[in-house]
Amino acid sequence: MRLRPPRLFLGRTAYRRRRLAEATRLVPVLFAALVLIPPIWLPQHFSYARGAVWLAVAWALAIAATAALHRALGRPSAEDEDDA
Amino acid sequence: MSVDVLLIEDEPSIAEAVRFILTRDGWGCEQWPEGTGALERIRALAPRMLILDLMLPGRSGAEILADLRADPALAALPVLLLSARGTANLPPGADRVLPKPFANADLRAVVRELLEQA
Amino acid sequence: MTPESLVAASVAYVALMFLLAHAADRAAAAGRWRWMDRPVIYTLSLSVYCSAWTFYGAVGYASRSGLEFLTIYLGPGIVFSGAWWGLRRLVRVARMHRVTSIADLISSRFGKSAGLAALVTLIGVMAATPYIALQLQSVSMALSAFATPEHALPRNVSVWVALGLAAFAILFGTRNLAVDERHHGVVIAIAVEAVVKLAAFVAVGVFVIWGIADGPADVLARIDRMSVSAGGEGWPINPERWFTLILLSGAAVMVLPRMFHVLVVEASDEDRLRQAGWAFPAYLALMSFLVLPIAVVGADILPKGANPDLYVLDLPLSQGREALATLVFLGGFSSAMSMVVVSAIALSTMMANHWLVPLWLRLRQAALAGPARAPEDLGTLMLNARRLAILAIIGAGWLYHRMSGGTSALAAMGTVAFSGMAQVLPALVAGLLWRGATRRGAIAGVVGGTLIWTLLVFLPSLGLLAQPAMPAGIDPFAGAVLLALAVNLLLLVLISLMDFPEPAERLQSLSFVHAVAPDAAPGDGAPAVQPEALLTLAGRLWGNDHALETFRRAAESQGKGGYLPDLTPRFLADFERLLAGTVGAATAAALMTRVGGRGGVTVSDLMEVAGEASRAREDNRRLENTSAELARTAAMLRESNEKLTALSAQKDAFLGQISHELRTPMTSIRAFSEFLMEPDLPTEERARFAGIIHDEAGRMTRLLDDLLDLSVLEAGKARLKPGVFNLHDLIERALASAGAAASGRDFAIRRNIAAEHLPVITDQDRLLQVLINVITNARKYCSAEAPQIRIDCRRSPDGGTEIDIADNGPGISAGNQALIFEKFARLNDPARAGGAGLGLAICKEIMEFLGGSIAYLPGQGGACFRISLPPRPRAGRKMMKMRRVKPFGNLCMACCAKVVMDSRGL
Repeated sequence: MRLRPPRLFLGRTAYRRRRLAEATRLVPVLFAALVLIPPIWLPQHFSYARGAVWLAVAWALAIAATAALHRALGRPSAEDEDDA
Repeated sequence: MSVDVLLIEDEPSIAEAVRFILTRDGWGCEQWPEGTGALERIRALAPRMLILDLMLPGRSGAEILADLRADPALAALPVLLLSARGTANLPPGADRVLPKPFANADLRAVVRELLEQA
Repeated sequence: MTPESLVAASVAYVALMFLLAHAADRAAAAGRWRWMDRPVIYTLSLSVYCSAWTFYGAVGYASRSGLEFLTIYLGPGIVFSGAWWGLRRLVRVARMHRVTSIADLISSRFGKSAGLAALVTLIGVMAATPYIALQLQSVSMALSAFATPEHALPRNVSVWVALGLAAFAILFGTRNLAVDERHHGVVIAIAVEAVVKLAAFVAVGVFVIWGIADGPADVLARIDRMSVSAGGEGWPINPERWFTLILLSGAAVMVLPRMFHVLVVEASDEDRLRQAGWAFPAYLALMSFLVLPIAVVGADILPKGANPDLYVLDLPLSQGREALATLVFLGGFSSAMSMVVVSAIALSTMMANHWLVPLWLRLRQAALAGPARAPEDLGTLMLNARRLAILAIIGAGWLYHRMSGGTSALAAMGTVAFSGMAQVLPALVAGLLWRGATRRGAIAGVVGGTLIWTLLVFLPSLGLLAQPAMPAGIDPFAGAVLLALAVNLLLLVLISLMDFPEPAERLQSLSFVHAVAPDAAPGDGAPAVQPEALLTLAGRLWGNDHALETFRRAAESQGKGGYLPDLTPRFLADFERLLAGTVGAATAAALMTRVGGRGGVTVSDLMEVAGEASRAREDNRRLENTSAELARTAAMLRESNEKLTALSAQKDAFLGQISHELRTPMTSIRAFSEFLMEPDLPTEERARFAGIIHDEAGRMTRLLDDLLDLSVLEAGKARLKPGVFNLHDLIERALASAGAAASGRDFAIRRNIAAEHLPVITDQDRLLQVLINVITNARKYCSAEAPQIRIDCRRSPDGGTEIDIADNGPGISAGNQALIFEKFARLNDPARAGGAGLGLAICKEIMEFLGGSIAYLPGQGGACFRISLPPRPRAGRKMMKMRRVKPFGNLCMACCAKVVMDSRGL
């Protein structure tokens, strides 16, 4: 098996990419929180029009954030292969 | 008719030539066309001498010769070796060697000599 | 619009999809797939998630239960927003292991367990049957919306729909046994259908929002009115259902067999998730937020008795918009069609790979081990198994539809399927994240969870068991699903913690969790297997051409020529993964054990791997590259050294042989000419002896011709006389003259005459010489009881011509295959050949001279030669020749000198 040693320090581009990749992990967590917590906590407030708008806005934000982050990440470079 | 000479030779035209020569001299002659089964043939026919080609399908003349010399019953059998590879690197144990192509007169002389010895 | 004309429209639509898929498949086969292989196609193909359930059921669901229907789309939305670290890992690992299905992934991760694969397949089939029934039901239900008393619904619509979809799935899903299990035609068809679905839904949504209602504000007001209306009692959100359904749909987008298929198996790389990560949720969001206006407006204006599942059709119909309704119908039909086709393909692969083939292997213990005497076409067997499975799956769906009578609401069927497949989720997630998860743990978890699901969800949904009694205030469905998943996870974790997994399993878990390519299992340092046996196996699965190409590439990457690579551990591991791409990991491992006698891995082997890994960690990447390069060079050197050693040994033998070949006829000539000199020889003897002399002189001439021919070709002095010829005529002539030359035995000649009529531009005499030589060899050396010669001709993709000439004899052993084209080589007894062993060397020189090649094809059940001709003879050969060593001219001189000198000694 070829396990490469994790590098200790990265160049600027690779460093930025690392942080961006970490940001992508945050999106589903935030999105899940927005989608799960309000309707479960206050179902009577989120069952009708307000809930629909809330979910639509939250989802649109999540899609926009994902799109922006994925665009910023660009094609994976060789340097970034052990990001998992 | 007893078998004086057993010829082990795969080339049909050479075998025919040798037979023709020996039969005219009055020798009884049999032929076997390959290396496999040659030893059994020798034991079965018990010839007075053997003319053996070196390059044979199945087992080579050298292998047959080695087996022959290792067998006490056959060790003394006179053997004339026919070689198409010149006279270098010949296997030990042959009484006489004729390189191909040979003169008919040489073949007759060698066979007579060996059969009279036997 | 009558049901009849709708049926006609759907038939035309399906025909269009057939044409499209066919064109895409052909383009892919011709290598023009690249322009279609775009992230957008991939994204659109993911929309197979939106089945007819979304199209009809979601509206019904929304009007009954309000926002809850959104959970089905929010789950995938959450999963895809984390695509970069979650799905990307999944796709990468799955592609690394050439996974063919979700069952294969789970089985591969947990030590290539055949049992686990069969189990996951079972869950997949159980869950999919109601789901497919739902699609058939929705199509016939949609048709019924158009029915009026004078235009009744055609009878047995669902049978025809099922048959048509099965035909589509079989035609495009089981066309060939691909190594990578991708179906370009199907993917393109789904992508187009995704566009149709979206267009139809957007059209009806826009019509409802702005055509019937007064814009979005009015729709929101209507939604708020639901809280006081009679139809709105299901609207308040139920927290535990909210959570459970989002969890289930998030799982479903990964583990549903059809989703796994488009998401993972059809993905050509993981990078396209960058686009799909936001574009697919956008697609889902658009579809799902259009559901709400349709649902509320439908509930407002349609009569109370109307079926909410059909609002999407009834709304435009009630406003007299027939064209819009037709578009909607086609959109719904699209979603049903893509769902059924992809499900059928995915499930049939699972059933064939994990049920039928292991069963067949068990029944036919010896079938694969033997040489390819009567080659069994495993590939066709696999494909037929899949076709059978497709019919079975769609048939089961239809049966379920008939038996359930189409009564239950669509949404309920969908959630039953989701919750069933979700039982695979704990094993999947734990398998990818936790190295300690073991096979026994996974089996216990999946079995436990599935049992609870069957008892508390599946059977009650069929009406066979009563709804489970849950503590007050807890939703029965959510409670049952959470219970099943909790038990599943608990069993998985507990049993894994107590377990000690097998070494092979630990290797796999390392590879899956760290996403590193699996190296060879270290246990097989000296495999007993012959490369030829593997080639035969591959040929039976993928067809000969593909197998040969794969092996040639592998040999090339090792720095070797020919078709037989060294069986390095790396090659064996790669080969096993390629096999796994066709038959699944468990079956591939079983096949390798069967054919190759590959033993299992031991714990000490594992420790060795660990040692190697830590050492490798110290090396840097450059060193790795350098050593690979060195290894390749070393392999090349070793091969040429072996060849040289063998050659030099053979050179001495050859000198003797040339001598023998010249002296033998000379001996006869001399002896018989001496007889002729005797005066008293009878006339008939004289004539016969002269004949013998004549024949022997001819034989000498032939040998000298061969030697001259070879030296002329080698020196590049031969003249090319090209012309256009019919290959069939050349083969006829070659067969006639080879048949005349060889004696005795009757050969059955198997040819495809029609395929032989190919024009070739070449030097006719030279090609004829090669054909005669190869056919004569086949006649000489084929020792089969019922000897036969097979001749296949075809155009190669580059416009050249390939002629395969094979016999059913013993063939040529692997060790000798590298030597047969060398001068001086003769493998068999010299006497039987009747030539000096120059024939194939001359053939090789001629083929190079003609710009083509001749090669030995191993693993064809006998000796087989492939003669390849270029589209036209190539120029510039002279240059190539200059660089080559030409020992032969000198050697000829040496031979002649030796013969002359030896003869002089007489």
